[in-house]
Amino acid sequence: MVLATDATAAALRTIGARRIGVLSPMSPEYSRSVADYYASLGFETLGATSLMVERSENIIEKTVDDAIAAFERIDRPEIDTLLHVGGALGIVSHIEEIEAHFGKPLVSVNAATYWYALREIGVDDAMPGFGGLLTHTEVAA
Amino acid sequence: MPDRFGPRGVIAILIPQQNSTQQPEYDAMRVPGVSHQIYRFVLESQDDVAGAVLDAVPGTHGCWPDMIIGGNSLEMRDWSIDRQGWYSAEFAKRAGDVPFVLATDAMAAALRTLGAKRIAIWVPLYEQTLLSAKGYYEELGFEVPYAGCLGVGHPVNSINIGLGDVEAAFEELDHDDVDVLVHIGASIGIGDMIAHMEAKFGKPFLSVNQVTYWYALRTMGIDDPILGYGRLPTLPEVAA
Repeated sequence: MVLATDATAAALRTIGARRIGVLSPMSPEYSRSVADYYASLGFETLGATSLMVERSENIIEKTVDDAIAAFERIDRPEIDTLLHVGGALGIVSHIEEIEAHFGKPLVSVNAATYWYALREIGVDDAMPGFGGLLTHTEVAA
Repeated sequence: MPDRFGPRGVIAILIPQQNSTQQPEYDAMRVPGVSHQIYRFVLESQDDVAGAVLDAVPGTHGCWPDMIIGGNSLEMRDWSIDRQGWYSAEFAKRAGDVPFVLATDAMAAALRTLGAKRIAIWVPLYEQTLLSAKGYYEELGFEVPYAGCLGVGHPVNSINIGLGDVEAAFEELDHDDVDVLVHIGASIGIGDMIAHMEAKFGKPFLSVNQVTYWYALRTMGIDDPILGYGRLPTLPEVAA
């Protein structure tokens, strides 16, 4: 079995991330928890942002533009990788657009978790169209 | 409630936890703009499939569905028109104001739409389920001169049934006086052999998941043809 939280950490390691900017869909408190967790794993979290969604059922209404606007509030050159956690915000089809917009990789939870699950069962297909991570055939140790 | 992944509608599909064929079959037939939300429910006893489905219906409200599919072939379960009426009424209580379709009603609607009179029925499970299904369709007014089962004792064993076994079963069941070939019992997914079977036998072939999905879409007002799954899902309307 794989867990999303382990998958995103493995994804960050595989990409070589060191300084990250974090987006979670709900409140800033969640994003701070996320930042603390990844800091404890050794990633420096230079910014944490959220979409300020109060009720989880409203996450589905958020658009890729909302996600980009949120990342813009925290992005800076020192951040080498963007991280999105919170699987109810489905932006996997927009990962490439966001990566192009910011010029850096985005680890997005659903894409990262599926990638990690496939690699764990020995399926190493590259999955183009969902950002740089999914073209990595191996998980970094 | 239509959303970004399902602008034409969100369909909640109830599937027993141990059924690994229904989800990929429904997803393979998915039409653009429709979102499938799968609700897996615990089916501990083969003796009360209806009860297990009904217990799971309220949970589907979690995704604000525009349609709920109860995809199990209840006509295999010591069934009758009365029992189906009871089941549908109980399902409706739990669905509230959300439209729903049931596999058993879908098959009847499909047979009427095709103008079927004499049918051959095949089920993967044991004879008791076959006799129930045969009796049910006879009660609806269809003649069922040929009926067969594979005798699988537990649905978990359906998943490994070879397509060759299914084809051989229908070779025995098919006769010139049969209008339509029918497979019920959603524990086996044979949607990918429908087109082949129709070409081989020269008549419509109905398989429960194909039929139920077609009926759900048409009930939602979506008349897209579903291509690659035989004749029925290309028909835009359900006969009254």
